[in-house]
Amino acid sequence: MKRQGRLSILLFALFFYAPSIYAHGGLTIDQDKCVFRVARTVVHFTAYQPEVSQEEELCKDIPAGNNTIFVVDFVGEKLRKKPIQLSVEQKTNNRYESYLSKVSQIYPSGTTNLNLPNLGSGEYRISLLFNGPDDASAHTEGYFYITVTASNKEDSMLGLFDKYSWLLILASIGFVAYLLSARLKS
Amino acid sequence: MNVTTVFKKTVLMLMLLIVSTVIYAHGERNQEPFLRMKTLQWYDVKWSVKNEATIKVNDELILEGKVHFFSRWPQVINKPDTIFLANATPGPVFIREESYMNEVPMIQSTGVEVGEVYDFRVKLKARIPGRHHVHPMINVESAGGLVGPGIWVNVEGDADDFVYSVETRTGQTIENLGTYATGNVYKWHAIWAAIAAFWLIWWIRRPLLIQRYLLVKDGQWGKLITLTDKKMGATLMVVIIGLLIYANSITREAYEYTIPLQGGRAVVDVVPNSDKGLITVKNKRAEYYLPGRTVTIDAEITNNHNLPIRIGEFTSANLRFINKALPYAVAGLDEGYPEELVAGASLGIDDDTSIMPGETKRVLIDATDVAWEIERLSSLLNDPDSSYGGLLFFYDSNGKRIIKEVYGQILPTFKK
Repeated sequence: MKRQGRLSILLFALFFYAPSIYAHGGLTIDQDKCVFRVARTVVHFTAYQPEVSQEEELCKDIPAGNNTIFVVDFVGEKLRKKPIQLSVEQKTNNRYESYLSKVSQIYPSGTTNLNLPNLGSGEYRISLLFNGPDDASAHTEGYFYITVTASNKEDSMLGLFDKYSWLLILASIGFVAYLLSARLKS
Repeated sequence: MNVTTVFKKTVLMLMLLIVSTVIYAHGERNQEPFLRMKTLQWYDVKWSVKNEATIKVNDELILEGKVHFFSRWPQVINKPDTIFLANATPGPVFIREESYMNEVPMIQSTGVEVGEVYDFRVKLKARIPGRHHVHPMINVESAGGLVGPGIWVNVEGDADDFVYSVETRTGQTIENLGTYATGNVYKWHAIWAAIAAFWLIWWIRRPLLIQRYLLVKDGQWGKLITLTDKKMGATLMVVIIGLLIYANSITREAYEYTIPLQGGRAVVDVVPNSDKGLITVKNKRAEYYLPGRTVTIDAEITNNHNLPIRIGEFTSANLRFINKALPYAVAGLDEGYPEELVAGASLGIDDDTSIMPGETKRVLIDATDVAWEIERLSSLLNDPDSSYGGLLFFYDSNGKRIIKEVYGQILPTFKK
């Protein structure tokens, strides 16, 4: 029973390593967790901090104090034909105020990006607004909320786990080898 | 098997499930980028119906176009020495009536040469109602299916109304191949199933496990199979062989003129490329600008043609990037071609002026679209062989199209 208890703990710990919770779960861009919907079409958000984490795709939790690039991908074909007002808003005194914005324009390539040097900590949101008084879906809005934290990712629980996950893998391999050898002996 | 052993097995199985990656299940997007960019380049693909068209059960649909077998075929998969032209649909919702490559029937497999272009034509017939994505596809031995562009087709009607009628070479008309001789199939399946069931019951009708285990334990192996068992086995063997001879003779009588199932290979001749050598393209550098979803190709182009040329299109992995400033290129895009496969923005060319006869020019070509991410092609940056492949379409001043391969290593960048 003691052995089974240890097995259960190991199994439970392994659930946290399941790759599905990292790097957007490996799903296609239109299905991963970094999407929001505007007018029933999909918009995908990615953030990069090239100087810190190179090509790593960040999403809802972003470390502060680094040069950051926000990339917004309009997955739905519909959004590529409409003028869109794109803004980054920061929460100040319980209200979202404009931090950075782009002029309303059409994005035929379905993607755009914004550079945010030395991004400060706080609550942000990506705001999309359709323009066009003749458009039936005028003034449709969509938001994606982001938290920029001052603490280094590595100091967080997830960061620590990520840093030392190799230990867990090694332990798992050792445990599997032990189980197999015990079976061979019997 | 005790509880601990069962528990261990369960833990092992769950551990494997946990550390496995998420299982992808989205058709061609699951294929590695190098497979989609450096194997087949499909172009001039046309369907006899429009995208999202509605047809009825028994209606025909024709796919045709050209397929270019890339010369830089990946080393990790088999060369296309044995391929089969087919169609990619969600199961047999269409039947394939005819298929051709360079006008040679593709009932059997064939072999092709890399670096060459082949015409293909596939004729389908709608069978099952529903909304289906229809692509041409080529299966490469030991490499799998490589899929071309697809359109959505809505099929209306009742699957029971499907009819596939053929006339044999002896003049006999088979009303519906889908149901032809199925009665015979059921009959013979039932006969063999009955024999199998009889033989199974013969053995399991008596005490099977414990008593036989005791006999083995006592060293009485000879009692496991009785004389009656042997007689029954011999009788069954005679019956089965007799049945086979009988079945063979009545089949020969019923179907007097038959030919064996053909196992040979079709031979497709290569059509010589008269444009070979007219243009030379050398990839000097290629980058993928991540934030902009842009593939930038720095290419050196030499015009060996006797007319000025311009770049009209870049295509890779079924994605098309058209130079919208060139009317010939725009005219090459058929109305109704699947929108999601055509970049919304124009192909960017830093110097879009004509390349004169004899001139060598270095140009930067930008292919920008979110499709690089949607189609998961940008994941090639994580491949051990991080290289791309595609076709460049050039047009001379008379509108003649000349197609060249372009390929090379590609690296990610955050600088534009």
